[in-house]
Amino acid sequence: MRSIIQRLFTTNNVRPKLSIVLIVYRMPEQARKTLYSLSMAYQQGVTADEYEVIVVENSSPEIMGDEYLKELDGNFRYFYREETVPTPLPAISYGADLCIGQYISIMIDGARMATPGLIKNIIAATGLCKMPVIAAPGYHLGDQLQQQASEAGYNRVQEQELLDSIAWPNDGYRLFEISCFSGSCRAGFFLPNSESNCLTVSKEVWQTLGGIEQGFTTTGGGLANLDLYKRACELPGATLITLASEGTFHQFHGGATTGGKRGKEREDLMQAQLDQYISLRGSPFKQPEVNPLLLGQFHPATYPFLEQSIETAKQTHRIRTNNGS
Amino acid sequence: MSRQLENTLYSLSCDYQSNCDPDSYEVVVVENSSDDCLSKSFVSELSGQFRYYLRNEESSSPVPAVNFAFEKCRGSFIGLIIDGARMLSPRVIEHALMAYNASNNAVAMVPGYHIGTQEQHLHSENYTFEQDQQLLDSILWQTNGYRLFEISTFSNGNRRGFLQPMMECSCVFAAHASYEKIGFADHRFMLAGGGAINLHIYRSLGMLKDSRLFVLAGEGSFHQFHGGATTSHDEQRENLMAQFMEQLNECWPDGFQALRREPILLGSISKEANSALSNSCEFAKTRFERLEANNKPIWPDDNA
Repeated sequence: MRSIIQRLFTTNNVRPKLSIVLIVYRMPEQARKTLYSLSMAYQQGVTADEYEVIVVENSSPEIMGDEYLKELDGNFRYFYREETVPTPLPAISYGADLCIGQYISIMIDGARMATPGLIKNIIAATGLCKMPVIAAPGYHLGDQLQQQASEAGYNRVQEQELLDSIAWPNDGYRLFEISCFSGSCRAGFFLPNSESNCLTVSKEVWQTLGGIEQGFTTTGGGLANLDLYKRACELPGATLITLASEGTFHQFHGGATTGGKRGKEREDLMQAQLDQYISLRGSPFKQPEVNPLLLGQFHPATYPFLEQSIETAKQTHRIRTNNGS
Repeated sequence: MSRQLENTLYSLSCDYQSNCDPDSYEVVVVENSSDDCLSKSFVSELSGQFRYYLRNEESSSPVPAVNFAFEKCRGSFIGLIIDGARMLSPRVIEHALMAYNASNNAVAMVPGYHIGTQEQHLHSENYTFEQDQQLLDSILWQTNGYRLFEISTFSNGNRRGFLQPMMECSCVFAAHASYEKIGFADHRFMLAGGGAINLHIYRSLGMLKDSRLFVLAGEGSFHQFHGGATTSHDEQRENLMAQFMEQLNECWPDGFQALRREPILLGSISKEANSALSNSCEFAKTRFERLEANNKPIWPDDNA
């Protein structure tokens, strides 16, 4: 299959620069919004032949299917998989093997909608240096993290009201108006984060990394996404590029760590994930110590996050200075 | 401005610029003859590819020297620093080359700063280069060039920061082909110091149809005091500025404007540059709120 498609693209001389792998599991409504946000109708400053989107859906009681994709403008390919393990990691490897782009973006969670300049800026970032590791920061819809908001009753109805309040998808940058930083991205734009839910590397780097670590077997893939980000950032010669004015925005869908499990059950899962990281890597997870390069056009809706990022960076530098490091 | 030029040239050397291959850039230095010329041995001792030309120039404009320099450049992407008194921060070359890697139509601008707590023309007439030099010595800038941010303030050309339209760029990079399209440095700008040639070049490059404006947000060009035409305390300054603007407006039939094209920020923000970014953000918010209230576009030159 891969060779046939590759031949087709090379014949037409339009091998896409970028392949996006998007994993869907039990979230048809949210995934449709995410897919729309990756379509040509929504993305700006990019042409259809510059990127493809590979959608891998794992079996569940709530299947999205491929009907909706037929309505979208863009290069979408859909794959359904019967899956027996509770992680998206085999699906990511499956999707990555199908990629024909020079660069590969991993979106581990199909519930993360994008901003309109995401793909344009990923492609721009690929040209900046020899080994770019391109990260779009993550956000949660709502004014607090969804794992906390859900405890207070946050649900899909409230989320839809939020999206309606900004007339999404008319101006996708208004997503910033109704969101907050994800927990793993709260360090902001000028410090390394703990992960990206849209992480892009070249195919060569993907191979060097050995793809995503399949040893993370806890529900939702545990810290596999954080591990991937860290390993990519720490590769010799790699440059972390943060697309500060773009982002992915998490919709509530009952994900493993974002509201699907609560209280003690969530705490136990988180602890199991942290323990598994230690057993695989030999020490607790620590974000990479790299200095990110910033790229992007700042839409006014991003200014509060810019301010927050500056303040966080200032505080961090103050602490480091006081500690003599 | 030999002392100032020495600092600037050191800031362009491979010993100071970070993360770039010495073979990836050259520095073409064109000096107009004066009674305070650079010592020839200074250039030869710098690390990097420096080429020095001394010219006899009868006019008081740098424009002929700029066009002479364009003829000497071998690179396809050219950084123009009209005023030799502008020192750079350490990753200007690296990030300018990144912008060019991203787009052949990149116009990479380095925001401008004045050393001192206020713009240098606001200093008293007793202000001297030695006072600048004391400030420079206080931060050991050669070992950490980002500390220049600690002793500087925004230049007038970008006095409200770099997240809104800027009038001028004193260190701008563009493809040779782009300079060619705008006719290089316009020979009409023969007033003292070249008049507003810097403003004219920056806007001309930015207004080219396919230009992509990159702002190297974590970097800066830092003006040292040297008694320049518009950067000194002088009772005649206002008259001179009026002449400059008159000439500039003749070149732009609808009146000269700052470049109102949406900037792509590129760079790495050091802790020393945080405040400049923070101030830029504050100014940008104020401007956005004003334009939004009046239902006006933020970046009208993007569609010009």
